[in-house]
Amino acid sequence: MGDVVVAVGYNEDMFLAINELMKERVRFVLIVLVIALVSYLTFFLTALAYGLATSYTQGIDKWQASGILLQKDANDNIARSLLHKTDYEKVTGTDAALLGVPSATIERDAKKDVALFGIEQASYLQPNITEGRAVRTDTEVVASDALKKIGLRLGDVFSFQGGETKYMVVGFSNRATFQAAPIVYMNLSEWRAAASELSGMTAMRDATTVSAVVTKNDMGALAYPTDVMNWRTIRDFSFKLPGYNAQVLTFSTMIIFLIVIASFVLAIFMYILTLQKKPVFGVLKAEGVPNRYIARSVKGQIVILSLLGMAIGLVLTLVTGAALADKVPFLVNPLFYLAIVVLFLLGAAIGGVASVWAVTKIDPVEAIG
Amino acid sequence: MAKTMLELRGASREFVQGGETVHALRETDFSVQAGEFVAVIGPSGSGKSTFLTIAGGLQSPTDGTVVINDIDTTKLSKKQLSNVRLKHVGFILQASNLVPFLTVEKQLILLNKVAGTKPDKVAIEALLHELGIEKLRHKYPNELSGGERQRVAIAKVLYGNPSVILADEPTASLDTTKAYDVVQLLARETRERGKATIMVTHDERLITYCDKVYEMHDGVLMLRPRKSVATLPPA
Repeated sequence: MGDVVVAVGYNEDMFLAINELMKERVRFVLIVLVIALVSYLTFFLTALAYGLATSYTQGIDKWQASGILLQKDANDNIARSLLHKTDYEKVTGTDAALLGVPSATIERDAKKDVALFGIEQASYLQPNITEGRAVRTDTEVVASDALKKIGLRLGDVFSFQGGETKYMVVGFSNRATFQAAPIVYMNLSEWRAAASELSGMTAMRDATTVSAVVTKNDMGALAYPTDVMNWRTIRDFSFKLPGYNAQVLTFSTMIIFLIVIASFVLAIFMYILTLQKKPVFGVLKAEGVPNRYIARSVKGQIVILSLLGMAIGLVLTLVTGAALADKVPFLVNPLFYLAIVVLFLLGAAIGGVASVWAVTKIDPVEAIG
Repeated sequence: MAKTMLELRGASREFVQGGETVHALRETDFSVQAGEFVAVIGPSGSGKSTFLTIAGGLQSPTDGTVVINDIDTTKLSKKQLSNVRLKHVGFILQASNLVPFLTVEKQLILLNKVAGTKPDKVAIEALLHELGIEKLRHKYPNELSGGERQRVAIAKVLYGNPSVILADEPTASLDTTKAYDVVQLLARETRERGKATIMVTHDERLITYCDKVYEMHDGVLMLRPRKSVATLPPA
């Protein structure tokens, strides 16, 4: 360790910065600790928020579709949306696929609410298979691998709570959740039967009813009966999902505030430390050490302390995430983390301006007088 | 004749305080040669500090010129003035101008870091040895005695190899023996290395080691006649 410190210490600009960090270890460890804890919270919340948001939408995001057509009167709520063949037949423009989405409950080791996706066998809505194979008959389903946690296995035969029909799990798909519920995929025709059996929606018995039509092309290439349907982009549709918008907004507000608070705390710390060192800096300036050199040292410390604190926060986050992986929807997005690091450094830099300003204001004459 | 390292030509400094003009330094002509050790004594408030800050290029005189090592500092910007101080002026201050979080050796190396040059290990070694502080090289200022701190301050100044050394009450916090010790050292190094050293002090006993003694009263700097210096008892 000694060698490393010496190597870093001999860097021209960081000489004062590093040597002070080494001398006043307790002081700076405390500062790093505060930054580490705040960034720990920030990183962890970000992973939770992203995990939760992802669990809301990943089942529909993986279609890579352009949008979704819903019943106009359904108020963008897919659970209430019913489209009849006479209407969706009028949808022109290629790459439209049919979909049905009610919910059901599976009981294995524990009860779990699932989203029931009925899809046409040939459509691009078919899930990717990570284990087993795709659905071939009406009594076969592909399930989200999240259901393994409640003990669902390949080859299991089960029925939904409140239903009689038996289904066999022939495959698993990853990233298959919708509104935080694992998805069970089945044939569209069977889905109608299951949906009516479970929810008693008689309209579902109509062999042509669907909840929504998913579109691959953008609006320009699309024509649909606007008096009964609304087209939403997948993104807009996501934000209309109950709770999704509120949750994303809440989390992002917290995260932004945490970043601002942490930058402020660091800036205030550094400002106080700079004021404390006024006599020292005054003497240095009297001796002809330029403002630039002293300011760079202060800025260097800010960067070192921030990066160190955030690195510790990140490690803590990843450790916690690994420990809680089964219990919380924890998902790391490196891009978000990079953004947080950049934002935090930016905030710290803006806060550091106060310290730099304080350095330039020091009158070297006072050091002598 | 030795080279003139520092020269004040008609330099004065005044400022307005509470509507009154204060003459901190009256028109002063003053010069120090290489190898010369000069004392400036006077009561507090006499303008010693103002004189020192002007001689050291910390502030410009209201009128007149200051020439440090042949550089006329009158028209220099703050930044250029700072650079002149870095290269040509060394300060030894009352409270010792050491950086609290640097070890003795690193106090010296800091000068290299600021100037962007390589530390001269041989010179550092020689200096530490010469000033008898080689055992203190890894100590921090707060681990040193007052006398040791001033020795380090002198080592630091000598390492910077300035033309002019300004010492502001360098013995203020020291007992008599240590004070003599430090001033003796300063006098010796001044002569051996051909520096121009000005020591501001209120301690009459220390001027034994000085080549010239100036007195400061109400902003007026006057050379004390040689005779009175000679009558002082040796240390």
